[in-house]
Amino acid sequence: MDTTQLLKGVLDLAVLAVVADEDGYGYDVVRRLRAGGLEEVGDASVYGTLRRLYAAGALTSYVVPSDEGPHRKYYGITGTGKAQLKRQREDWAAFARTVSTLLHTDRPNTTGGTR
Amino acid sequence: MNDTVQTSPAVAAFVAQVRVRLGDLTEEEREELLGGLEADLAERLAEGETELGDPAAYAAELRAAAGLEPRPRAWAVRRPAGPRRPVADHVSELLDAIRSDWERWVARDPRVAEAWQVTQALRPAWWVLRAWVAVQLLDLMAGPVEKPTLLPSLGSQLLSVVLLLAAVVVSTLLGLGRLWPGAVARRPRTARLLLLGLNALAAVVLMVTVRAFPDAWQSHQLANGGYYADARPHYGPGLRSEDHYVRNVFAYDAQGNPLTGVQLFDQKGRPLAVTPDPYHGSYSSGGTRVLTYPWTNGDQRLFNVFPLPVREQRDDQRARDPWGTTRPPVLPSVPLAVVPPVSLPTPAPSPSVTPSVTPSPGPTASPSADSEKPRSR
Repeated sequence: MDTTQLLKGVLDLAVLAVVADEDGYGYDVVRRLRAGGLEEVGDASVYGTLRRLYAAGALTSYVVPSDEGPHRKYYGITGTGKAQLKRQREDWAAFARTVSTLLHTDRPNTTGGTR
Repeated sequence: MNDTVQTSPAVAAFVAQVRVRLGDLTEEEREELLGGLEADLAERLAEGETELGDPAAYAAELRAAAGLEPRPRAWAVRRPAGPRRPVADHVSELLDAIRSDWERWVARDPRVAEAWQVTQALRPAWWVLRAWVAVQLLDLMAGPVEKPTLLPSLGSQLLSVVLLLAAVVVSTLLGLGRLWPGAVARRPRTARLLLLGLNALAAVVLMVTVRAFPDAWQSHQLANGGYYADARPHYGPGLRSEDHYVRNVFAYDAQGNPLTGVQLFDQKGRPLAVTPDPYHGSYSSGGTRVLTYPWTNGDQRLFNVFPLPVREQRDDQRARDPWGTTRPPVLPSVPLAVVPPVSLPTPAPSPSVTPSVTPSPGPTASPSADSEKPRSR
């Protein structure tokens, strides 16, 4: 299955969760997502998502200057973002349960299914 | 975590490329997307990744994830609604975008890429050509309006050659980037626009010039042949035969007798006239000039009716009312009193010379040619 399609649906949630754990800059978030198992995630997608969540008020951002090299832009979660994360987490749990149940229906019932 | 990452030129270039593709966004939107990108990319490279990928695809992914509209075509980039965005930046970005779009388009097909390489190698030819155009323009502005010649006619021949050489040198230095506005490493906007404008102007002037060139070449030859002292345009309207103007026409009928009042038209019905220009219409004959005068159909002067009456006079100007003078124009004497009779080729054995009343069924017989003959008699 093309997991990138699935990823699209949950990227907001995943990014929110990662940033809720600890503030992070763009590539840091990408790295934590990949470390968490979402290896396919493209960094441009993550940056775009960060920007959209920021524009929606779910994230704040602050610039951390560095002595050499360019500045880093850190993202942190806001109250709105926490509420969104909570709501979406529940949505996801319910959705995942539903889909899992759906995919396993033929096992307990065993009415001459396809298996 | 490494917080102090050195950015490499590759990263800076990549970010610049992405920035170009976000050119239609507001400054704020763009900075939100690009803020920290350099540091992130540099870190990626530091971790051992070698390829940054395609900036266009990257920008597209960025936009999609950020929930922004896909980018319009480069040349349709609209001015952002947001304030405080200088037009200047926009122009630079547009130029960048057009260039990178062009380069990507060229790179798509190896044959196109090859052709583009050849074209680029021919740049010096263009440098010479535009120098010539510049001197040509100077020539046009300096003197009276004249057709362009291969070697500009500015004062002396020597001056022209020196000027042309100087222009070639300047143009080449510009092309090599040794001279402002070609010189600046990252050319500022004004220099780029100036160069673009100058090149475009040269191209346009060149196209106009090339169209006029056959005439120019001719007048050049004429001038060198000593026919004319100056380089006036000589390729005016008027019947020509070989390389000279026809001054009068004498028509004979099929029997070989001279005709008077023959009206000539070309295949599209346009009058076949000799030039009314007295300069071409006259010729010297023992100190006097013989000028042709037009026929008339009431209100128009017709130079396509032959033979044209002539009048011997001392100057080049046609008299205002020549027919009212004591010496009105007269029909000129024919160059040949009679010419041998002619007929259409006919398969019939009889060699009778009575054409046109019953058109012969010969394959070359043209009805229009036949029908014109009775009229002209």
